[in-house]
Amino acid sequence: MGRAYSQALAARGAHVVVLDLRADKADETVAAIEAAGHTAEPLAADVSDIKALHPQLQAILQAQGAVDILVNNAGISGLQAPFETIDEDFYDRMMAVHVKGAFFVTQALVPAMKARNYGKIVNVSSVFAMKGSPNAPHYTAAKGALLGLTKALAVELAPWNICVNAIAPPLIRTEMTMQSLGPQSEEWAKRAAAVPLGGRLAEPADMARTVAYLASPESDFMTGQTLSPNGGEAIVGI
Amino acid sequence: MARVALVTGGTRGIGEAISVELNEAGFTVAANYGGNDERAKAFSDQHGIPAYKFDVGDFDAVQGGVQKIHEEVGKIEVLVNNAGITRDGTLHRMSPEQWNDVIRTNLTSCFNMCRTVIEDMRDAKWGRIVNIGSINGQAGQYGQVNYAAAKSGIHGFTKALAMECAAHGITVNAIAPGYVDTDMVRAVPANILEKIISRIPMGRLGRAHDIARTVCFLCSEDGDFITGSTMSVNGGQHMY
Repeated sequence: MGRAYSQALAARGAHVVVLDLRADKADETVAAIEAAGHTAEPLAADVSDIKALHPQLQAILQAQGAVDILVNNAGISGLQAPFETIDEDFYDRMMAVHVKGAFFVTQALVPAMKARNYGKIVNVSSVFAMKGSPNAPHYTAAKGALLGLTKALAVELAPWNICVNAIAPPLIRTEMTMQSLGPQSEEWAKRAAAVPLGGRLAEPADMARTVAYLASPESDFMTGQTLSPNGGEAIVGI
Repeated sequence: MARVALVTGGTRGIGEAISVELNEAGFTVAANYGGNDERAKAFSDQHGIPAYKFDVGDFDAVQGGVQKIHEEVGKIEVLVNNAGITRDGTLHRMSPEQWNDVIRTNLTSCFNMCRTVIEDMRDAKWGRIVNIGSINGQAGQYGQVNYAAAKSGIHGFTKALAMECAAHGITVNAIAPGYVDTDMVRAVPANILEKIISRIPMGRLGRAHDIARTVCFLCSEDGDFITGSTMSVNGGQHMY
């Protein structure tokens, strides 16, 4: 998913810093972006290791002046995990990557956004947090925490023209989700048939277009909101 | 070939901005209006967008108006239900006319318009319906039980219709504008408007353009997988 977001933003003119736990994955994404004629640079880092990450982010800020757009997408899978099977380590890791990581990466980058009186922050939550989904309660709790963080930061940072919104993707067939759910086509076909719009699963590009919208001046008066391009799978709220 | 879009209440305020923005995005636009002929003519002369006068609260008038647009412009593929009025007052002083007028123009109009265009959209297996709700429909507002009920009704209507239409390639979404700098908002007493702005985290009223761009997003390829949703454009004033 992160690759799709990176490519979409690069295609719209952003210089993208691709942060990934795995250096080879970051390099691959950068290569794909450069092959398409856009610009990017890799940053191999663990968002849950704040002490190590902080100087790396400061170096980016030194070189670039500011980061205008932040997409807090880093995540790990928590699917197929019934409540009673989750131990403390798994719970802590889920919260550290999704919530603590987003919290402190954002904190490191906000001062420069404030100085420029401009910023776009997109937190990647999940449709699980909108409607509740079984067998991933720690993942759902973490993704729900991001919605609260989104609203809190939206109110606090609005005076500096910094928009903070969330995207809540439905289940998408990616390397990560196929590891948890397996590649069995029957299971995925059943899920696809259940999607009202078009009877197909969401693609990374469907999410990327909404992330790009939230990262652009097109959405300058939208803040504290959650968008979920889910093909009608979860029609919630008002 | 350019898709045909109809914007109700499309010659003034937010509606005008939506008509213009869709036109610039490459749609063939027709705007509907209910009252001021001079204003509508000025709109058409300025933007080159035809304006059609019919009462969206009257089912038969809608049938006639849409038929005329079919003949002169084409079958409607994008419908923006934007027409709306206010008739403010506290409940204990509100007349049945104040209630009925607002429900009719703001909510019944959505039924009238969607019912009239939906069969062609279903046949074509493509359509985009964007209903303009309101922050006051989501959160309520003193002196607006009629407006809040109508706008809140638009959100429920949107979700139900989205479910019905998804299998036919038609997306149905709502936009909930916050307080936008238009004639309707400028009519609010100054002291009240000042209090309202103080509650908007971004510290300013929205612009009609902010809403119009959101309509364009939903009607473009970028919005292809979004249905049954509400996009709230309110500067952070209301988050749910």
